[in-house]
Amino acid sequence: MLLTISNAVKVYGSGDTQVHALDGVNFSLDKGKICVILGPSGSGKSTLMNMIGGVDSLDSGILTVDDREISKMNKKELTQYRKEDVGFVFQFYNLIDDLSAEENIQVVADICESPLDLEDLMESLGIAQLKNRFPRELSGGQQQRIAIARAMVKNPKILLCDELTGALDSHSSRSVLTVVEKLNQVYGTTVIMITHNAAISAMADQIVYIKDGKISKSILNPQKAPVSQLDL
Amino acid sequence: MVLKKRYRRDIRHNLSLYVSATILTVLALLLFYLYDICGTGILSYANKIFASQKIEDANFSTYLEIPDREIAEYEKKYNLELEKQHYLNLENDGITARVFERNSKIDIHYVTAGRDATADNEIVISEGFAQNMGILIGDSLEIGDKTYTITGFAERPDYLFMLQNLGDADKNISSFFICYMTDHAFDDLGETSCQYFVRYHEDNHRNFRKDINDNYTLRTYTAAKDNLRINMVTDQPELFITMGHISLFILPLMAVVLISTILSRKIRNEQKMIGTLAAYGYTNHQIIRHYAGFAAIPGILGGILTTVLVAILAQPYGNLGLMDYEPLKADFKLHIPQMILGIIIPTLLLPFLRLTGF
Repeated sequence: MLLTISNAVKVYGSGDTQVHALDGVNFSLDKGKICVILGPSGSGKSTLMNMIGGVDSLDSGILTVDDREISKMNKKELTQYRKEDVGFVFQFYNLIDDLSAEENIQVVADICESPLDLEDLMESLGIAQLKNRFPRELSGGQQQRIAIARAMVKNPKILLCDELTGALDSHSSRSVLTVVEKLNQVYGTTVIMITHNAAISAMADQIVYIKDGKISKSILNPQKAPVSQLDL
Repeated sequence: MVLKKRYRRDIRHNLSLYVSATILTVLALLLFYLYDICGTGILSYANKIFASQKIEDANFSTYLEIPDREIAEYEKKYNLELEKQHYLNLENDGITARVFERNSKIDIHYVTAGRDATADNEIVISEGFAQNMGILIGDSLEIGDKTYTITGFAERPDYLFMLQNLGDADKNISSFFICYMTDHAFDDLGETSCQYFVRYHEDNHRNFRKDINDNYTLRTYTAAKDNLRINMVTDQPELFITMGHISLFILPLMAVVLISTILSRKIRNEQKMIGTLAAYGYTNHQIIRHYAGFAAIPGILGGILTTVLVAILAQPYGNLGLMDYEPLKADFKLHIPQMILGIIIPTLLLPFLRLTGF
């Protein structure tokens, strides 16, 4: 197992305003798989992603990635973990406006020990022709593919995608999901996608349902479909 | 690091903001440099003159004149230097000339331009009055009932701030000046007043004063620290230096407040970027250093620009601070510690203030 979470608890606030964002979450994920986490707003999806990504820490429970106990890491170790092992892709891309596409990817490559070759990566994602363009000159789908390239340049163990297609139309969504599928196939990157869109779950190896901070269901998808067949 | 490209591009996109911030930094630094250069220059000159021309520790006058033979005895008894000096005030057309007898031990005068008087019809006068009245070396001046030729200008260390009377609040260079002539010419002037100047070599001024008072009855006694003609030349420059250091910290604060007001929208966008960079593994130190760079740019630019400008114009710039004094031949220079402060403080202070949320 690449990722294992046991009895994960995360509470925000105190007293009457206390919120159990994670309330005893248990699940695991094999290396090289695509996992889709589905759930309504406020169910704890983003909190779970933040814990896996090392952005925040559990109040209790155990989280291990590749046999390393992330839940026991200090701030410096978590920064190192995020730097080397985790790639984030955000709903609204979060590209730096005054850097070109290539430079946005280089920002992450600059701090990696062994980044992937930028040109090859951009070529494989079909965005090589965009390298000198700035985010304001690109469509949503193009920006998201650059954001994916930025996350992938460090060749992370886990690619975390938060509402990857939330801001995109169906055509752009399909092209972006195709990229993710390709990365998973070519690089063997483990992908965790958080989404409201149940249709996306068809491309996943594992589907996790979360509600009120708990995993209500976690199933292996016996009928994994390619992105081209998704009903987006 | 590719993030550094943002600096040049941000300057291009927000040129007016960076220009404004740089100008504010320049203005703050100009004020710092003005105060600091003036203060250190005047203080340095004053201390040099006080040492070389033997500034008094006190001056006094008595009802009974101390005989010349007693002067040496007092010096020996109380381990001090004591000098008697005669002077008189002569008025012509509402202008008072204070003519001093030449002395050699304390508050010694010195020529700052031209040459000293060598003939009985020659004088040297204070330069502040001369400049104010448009009088040049070589001109004639009537003092009492005689006319003299001005051969030069002179200063004395206890008259660098030209007060006619010690109780006056402001200098007088329009109806008062000091002057020196030859000993023979001075002797011909008539009845004079007498004052004494003392320099102590040990702390026994109380005993000395008591002795003088007991034997010759003290009329006035003014310690140098209470003498506005003297302490104005040290206290004001010291105040200048303090004000300079205060302005170095206070004015960039004002600059940052203005910059932050304009930047508030940019700051909101940048907060998202900061979160993204942190998510990608940038350390707090790397992120702080990157954003501090934006605020440091006007600090560095303003600091270097102002420092170069002031280094070239230090002398005329420093002369601006001489308005209260005689035209001192002070040497105004930008010293290395001042340059370092002027560049480093805004460079570090602006980012520090921005990043701590001012």
